[in-house]
Formats: sequence, C-alpha cells, structure tokens
Amino acid sequence: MTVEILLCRTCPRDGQGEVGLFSEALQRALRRMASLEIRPVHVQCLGSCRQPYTVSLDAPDKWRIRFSGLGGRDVERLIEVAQHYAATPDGLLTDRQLPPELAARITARSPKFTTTRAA
Amino acid sequence: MKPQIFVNARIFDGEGTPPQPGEVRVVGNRIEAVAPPDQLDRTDCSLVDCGGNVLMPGLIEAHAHVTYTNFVHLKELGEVPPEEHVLITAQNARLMLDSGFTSLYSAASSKPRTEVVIRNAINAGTLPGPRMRAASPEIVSTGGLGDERQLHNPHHQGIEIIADGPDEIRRAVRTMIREGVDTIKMNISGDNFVRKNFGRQTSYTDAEVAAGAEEAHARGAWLSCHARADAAVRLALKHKFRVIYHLDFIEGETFDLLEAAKDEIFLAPAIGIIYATAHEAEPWGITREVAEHMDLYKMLENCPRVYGELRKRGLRVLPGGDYGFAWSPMGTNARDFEHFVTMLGYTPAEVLSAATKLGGQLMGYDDLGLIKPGYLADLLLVRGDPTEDVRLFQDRDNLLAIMKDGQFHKRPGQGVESGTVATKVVESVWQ
Repeated sequence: MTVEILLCRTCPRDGQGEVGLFSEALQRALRRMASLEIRPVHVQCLGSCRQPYTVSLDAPDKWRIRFSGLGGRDVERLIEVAQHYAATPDGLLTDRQLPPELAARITARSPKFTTTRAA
Repeated sequence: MKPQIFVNARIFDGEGTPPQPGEVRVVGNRIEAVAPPDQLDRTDCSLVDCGGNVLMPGLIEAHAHVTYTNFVHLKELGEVPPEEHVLITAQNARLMLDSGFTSLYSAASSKPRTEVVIRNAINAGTLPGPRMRAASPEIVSTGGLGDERQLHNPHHQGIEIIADGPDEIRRAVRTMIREGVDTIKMNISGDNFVRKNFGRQTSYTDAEVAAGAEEAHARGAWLSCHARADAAVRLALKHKFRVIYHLDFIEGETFDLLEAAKDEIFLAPAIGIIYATAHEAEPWGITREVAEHMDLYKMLENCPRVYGELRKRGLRVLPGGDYGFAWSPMGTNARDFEHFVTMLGYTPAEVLSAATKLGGQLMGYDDLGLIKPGYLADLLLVRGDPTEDVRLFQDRDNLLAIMKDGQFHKRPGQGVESGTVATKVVESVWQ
C-alpha cells in the first residue's frame, strides 16, 4: 500500500540555512520507521509558511490534508495517520483515526471537487 | 550542440491524443523530424534514451506573475525596492523554467519595467528563464482593484498604475509601450477579495476602456484584462481585448458574444487562487467565514458551469494563474492542471493540450506548443505518463529533462539546481 506524503522543498522558508532540511529529515525518518511504502512528493511549497514544518497527505480523488508545525515526535503519529488515510475512500479521517496532537496541527482540508460542505 | 534524437519515447505531441511510441530529432532550435521508433537516421546525432517516458512540449503559463513574492497583502509588492524586485523576479523566472514552464504569458508586472528587463535578459541569454511576454502593471481606476491608497497617506507605492479618464489611460498605455511591454493589462472589474460583490462591478467606463484599447491597438501591443463582472467582459469584447481573465459572473448573451469572438480571444479562469484562498489560507487569516463572505465557495461552484459552457462553444480556455500569493506560492503553478481535471472536468490530455498547443497560440507563435516538424524545440521529458496522472508536474523531480529553444536547461541525469555540469552527454535516463 503506497501512501503519498507531500513535502515542502522550501520549509522553513526563512530558515536561515535550514531551508529544505525539515523535509529531508522527515523523509529519512519515514523510511526508517514505516512498514508501508512511502512515496514522497516534493512540492515547491504547501503554503503554510507562517506555521512551518508542514506536510500534506494527498491522493487522487481524496481530500488533501495539511499538517503544520510538526516536530520529530510527530513522525510516528504521522505514519499511523497516513495508513488510515490510505485506507479511506476519500481521505477524510474520523476523530478516532486522528491523534489529538495531529488533529490540532491540521491547517487545511482541500477537496478534489467543488463543494461548499465542510470536511 | 550536435543534433539530438530523443529515442525510446512515448510522444505526447500536444494535440490531446494519447502518447505514442516514437522518436524526435532536434536540430538547432527546431524539431526537425518526428517518427515511429527506430526510423530516424542517427548519423552525427547524440541519442537521448527516454526510457519509455513521455516526451511532450514545454508548458506555458497563461497568467504569470513572476514579480509576485509569495505575499500576503498587495502592498508588500510595492514595498520591495526595484533593485531587489528584479532579483526576485529573476529567481522566479528560473523557478518556472525549472518547473517545466518553457513559456510565460504575463498577466501583469508589479513594477513598470521589471518584466521587460527580465524578458530582455532571458532573450539575450544572460539569465535562465522561459520565453516571456512581458506585461505592464495593472492599469486601474481610482477605487478600482489594486488602488490601495489611503486618503490620509500621500506616500503610496503600489503595484498598479492609477489612471482615470481617457487621457490618463492613453498616457499610461503609451508610457508602458515606450518602455517595451508586450501586453497592456487593465482591471476592468473589481474583485471579491477586496470587498463583497466588488467582483460584479465594473471599474472603468466604456470611454476609458476604448481609449486604452485604441492606443494599444494603434501601437501594436496586446491587451488583457481582469474581468469577473459580466459588463466588464462585454467591454473587453467590444474593444477587442485579446485575453480575458476570470469571467466568473458572465451570463446570457455574453456567452454568445464570446462564442462569436472565439478565434480572436483567449480565456483563463485562474481558478487556483480561488481554491487555495477558500481552502488553504487559514494560517494567513482567511478563515472559512472570511472566504464565505468573499463568496469564494459560490465562485468555485459556479466555475464548472461557466467554463463548461465556454468549452462547449469552442472558446480557448487555458490553465494557470495568480500563483505567487503566500497560500498559493510561486512554483506550484502546475497544480492548476489538477484543478482543471477535478473541478472543470478536463481529461489530463485535454488540459495538457491547453497548456501547450493553446499556450503556443497565446504566446503569438505559429510554431510553438506542439511536437511537430518545424516547431520550436521546447520539450519536456516526464517520468511516467502525465496523461494518466497530471499531478506528476507538482514534483519537478519528475521532469527528467527540460529543453528550451533546442538547448538543455536540464539534461537527463543532471540535477538542474545543483549546478552540476555534466562531463559528458548522458545518453540514458537510467544512468
């Protein structure tokens, strides 16, 4: 089961030499820890620079879920959530599937269709 | 550089049909021949093994703002000094080329000469970047979109040229053409980003739009406009604007008028900024409530209806637009292709044809945007098949090679941003 994780090339944007290091470190940690295949997608920026250290879970026909303000302690939780995300038909996660620590870090839920309904 | 033959490719030629196995010979800056596999004479040519990946025309951004700085408020663009702004724009132009956009059609510059300078430097070979059609700043009326002056504060430096009345507009257009722009941009309507329902209002009179158009037509510059309102689109059509952006609120007879002009005009919804502002801008203070107040969800729901009808009537609709805001950053422009698929019902091949074939027409070339003998050699080699998954462009590591004007900007096997210079021509993407 492959899960896509979108990583920012430019995070943190004003990082004084740290630019891009977060996504590299996260990618290494994911490879070490994950049992499922992680496919990193390196995007230029996920548009959350005010709250850096950001990743998104994304897949065709699924809501994109963005997490910001992440730290090293969030990697294991992120892997667990990514597994739940991969198993959903639409990318929407229940409260049970989202540890409170990560739920608090969601800064965007983006649909793959025009809608006015909330996630 | 020796003639190049791209072999072992699946060719997406830009017409919108599925990729087909084949090979392409490039001589100088042109595509000389396109053929089925193993048909082309390899004498004195370098071979580029495409590894079965897709070779396609370079992408064209139809609504570029390479002077944008990933800003939150428009006034931030005015606060950047001109010298620094040139450097930022040069970086953005390079980033666009790194992202597979071999051409840019500007929808406005933030400062009068910045894009002209960058375009000229790129054309002279002193800066890396896409082909560019440089635009003027947005010409806006007092109180129009882009006028951020405050009555109590006389010291204002914004992104706009404020011009009221036919005479001021004539002077503004003449000045910008003197400075070397390819296209004049006018904000004929407002925008809901500024205040509720502003997008449904026109900001210029018929006489004012007529004056600007007359000057531009007489002096050989193209015209584009920001036009969300129905009446604004009608003014643009009446005065023969070449490019009309947004068109969110058109209705009734306006569709017929657009159809009648379909061979003369290009349209672009720039849906990406609406989407990102509605769903992804909360860290920047644009909550769901603010987005609802701006009517952004209604605009997103309306867009498929409007553009579905426009496509049915044969209008040329292009992806791209308004990347360079903090929540829709520069370098994420390819996400617009995904929006066209998920929101507007395009197939990946259709949107890529719009971004290449129609993009070439938009740029004003009759030999750009297709893989066809005689066409300019702006090419991308893409890992995988973007006609199956148009999201591939969002990770520019999937661009195995980028060629502009017959020269590699990124060679197979070379990381373009590392500055590493290949010591030999890499003949297989598997090396």
